[in-house]
Amino acid sequence: MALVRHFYGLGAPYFAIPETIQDHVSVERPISRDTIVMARRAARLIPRGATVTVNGDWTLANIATGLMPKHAIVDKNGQYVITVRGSLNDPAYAVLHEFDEGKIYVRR
Amino acid sequence: MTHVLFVAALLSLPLFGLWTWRLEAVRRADLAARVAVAGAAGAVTVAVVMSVLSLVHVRWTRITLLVIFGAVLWSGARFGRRTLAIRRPKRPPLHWMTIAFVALTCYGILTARESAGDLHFFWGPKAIHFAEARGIDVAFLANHAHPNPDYPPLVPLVYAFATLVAGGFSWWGALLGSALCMIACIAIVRGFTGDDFGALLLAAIYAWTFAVGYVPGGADAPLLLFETLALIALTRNADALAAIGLAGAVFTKVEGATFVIAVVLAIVLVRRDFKRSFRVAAPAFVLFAAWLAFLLVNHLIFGYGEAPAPIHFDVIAKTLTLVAQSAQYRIAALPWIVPIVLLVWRRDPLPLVVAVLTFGVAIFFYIHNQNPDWWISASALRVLLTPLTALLIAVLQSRADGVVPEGKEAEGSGREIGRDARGAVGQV
Repeated sequence: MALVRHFYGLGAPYFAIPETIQDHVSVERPISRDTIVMARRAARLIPRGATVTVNGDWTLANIATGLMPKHAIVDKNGQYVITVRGSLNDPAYAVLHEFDEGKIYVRR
Repeated sequence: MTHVLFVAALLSLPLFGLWTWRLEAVRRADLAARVAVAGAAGAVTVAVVMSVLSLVHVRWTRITLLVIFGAVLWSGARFGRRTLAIRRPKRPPLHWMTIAFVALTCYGILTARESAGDLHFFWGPKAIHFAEARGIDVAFLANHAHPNPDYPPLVPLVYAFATLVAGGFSWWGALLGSALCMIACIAIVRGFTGDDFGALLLAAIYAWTFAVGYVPGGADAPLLLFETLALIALTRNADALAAIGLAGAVFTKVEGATFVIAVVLAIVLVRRDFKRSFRVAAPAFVLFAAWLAFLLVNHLIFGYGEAPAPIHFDVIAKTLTLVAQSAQYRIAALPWIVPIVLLVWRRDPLPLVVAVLTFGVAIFFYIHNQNPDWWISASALRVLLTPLTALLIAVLQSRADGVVPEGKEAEGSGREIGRDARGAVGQV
C-alpha cells in the first residue's frame, strides 16, 4: 500500500510510456529529464565531432556525455552550447534551435 | 528492438556462469536459485573476460565476443550438468505476494519512477564510451570532468557487453537489469534457505527501498546480488560460491571492497578460521589488486586517493543523526524493525557481524567529510542496503527444502529428506 501510494504521489500519467527514464522521479518535472531531451536533440542536430558545452552544473554535462558519444563535451568555449531552461548571454554565440526545454547555440 | 536485445543480453548472462552448476551447493539448489547463481557468475565472467581483452589490446568485436563466450558457454554446458532433480513445494500465498512486489518494482521502473541519477551521470556514459572504443577507454576515464573514473568496472563492462549485442545502449534495459538482480536475490534466498517468508520479506524490503532510494540502473542492485550470494553461501558453508560473490562485489563498487574486509573479519571473529577467510576472499583480492594496478599504471587514482583524508570527529553526532534519518527509509525504519524483531527467534552470527561492520564502515566513511549532509542524503539510502541485507540474511530460516549445510539439521518443515550417495539433499 505504501509503495502504491508512493508511486501515485509521483504524479500522472500512470500508464503511459515515459519519454525519458527521469520523467517521474520527482513530482516537479526534473531538470535531468529536460537535459536528456535536449541532449538527444543536440546529438541529431549538431555535426559529429563538434565540441559542445552544456550550460549548467556538472551533472548536465555528464548526461550529455552519455547521450552524445560522437561529440566532445567540453567545460567551456565549445563550438556549440546547450542551455537547459535558460538562455545564454554571450554575444559570441547565436541561437540555432529553440525548444520548450532549452536552446542550442552556435558560435558566431 | 535495441531495448529487447539489451535485456536479452542481460538475460543471457547465466549461460556464461553455467560452470557454477558443478559446485555441490548449487547442484542441491532449485532451478531458480541455480539460474540466479549462474547469472551472477556469468556477470563476473563477462566482466573479467572483457577486462582481460582490453588489457591485452584485443578490440571487443561481436565476432571476438561470440567466439570467447561461445567457448565459455560450451565448457559450462559440457561440464556443468547437474545430476540432482530438486523440486520445492510452492506456498501459494507467499509465492504470489513475492511476485506482486517484483511486479510493482517493474511498474516503478517502466514508468520512470525509480531511476538512479548515477545511471545517466556515469554508469551509462562509461558503458557507452567503452562500447564505442571497443575496450576500456582510458582516455575517457582520464578526463577529470567525468565523475568516479576509478570506480570498479563490472557494471559498465556488462552494460557495454549488452550494448555490443544490442547494437546500442538501452537506458530502459539498464534499469530492468536492477529488477533482474532483485529477482536473483530473492531466488537465491528462497532456493538456498527454503525460507519463503524470508524471500517475501526481502522482496518487500527491496521493492520499497529501491523505489525511495532510486536504486535501479546504478551499481547497487548488482552489488546486493553479489553480497546476497556471498552471505547465503557462507551460511551454507559453500566457500567457492562465497568467493564468486565476493569477487563480484569487489569488481562492482568501492563499497564492495569494504564488504569483503567485513566478511573476512566476520569469518575470523565468528568462525575463528584465518585460512578459510583468506581462501574465500582470495579471488576478490586478486581482482581488486588487478584493478588497482590498472588504475596506478594509467594514473587514474581519484576516489581511492582520498582514503588517507583526515577524520572529522566533530561531525560524528551530526553524521549519526543524518544517517539515522536516512535509515528510516521514509517509513519509520520498518525495513530494519522487522528483521531486528526476528532476531529474538533466530540469528546467524556471521551475517549479523557483517551487518554491524558494514554499518560502521558507512559511518566511518561519512566522517571523512567535514560537511557530509549532501553526501549522506545522496547515498545513505543505497549504501545502507548492504547492512540491511546482511541483517535480513542473519534471521533467515534454514528449511529442509533449502540447501542444508553439512552437519546441520534443517528447521521449519520437520519433514524427512533424502540424500543421494554423494550426500546431496534429494526431493522433498
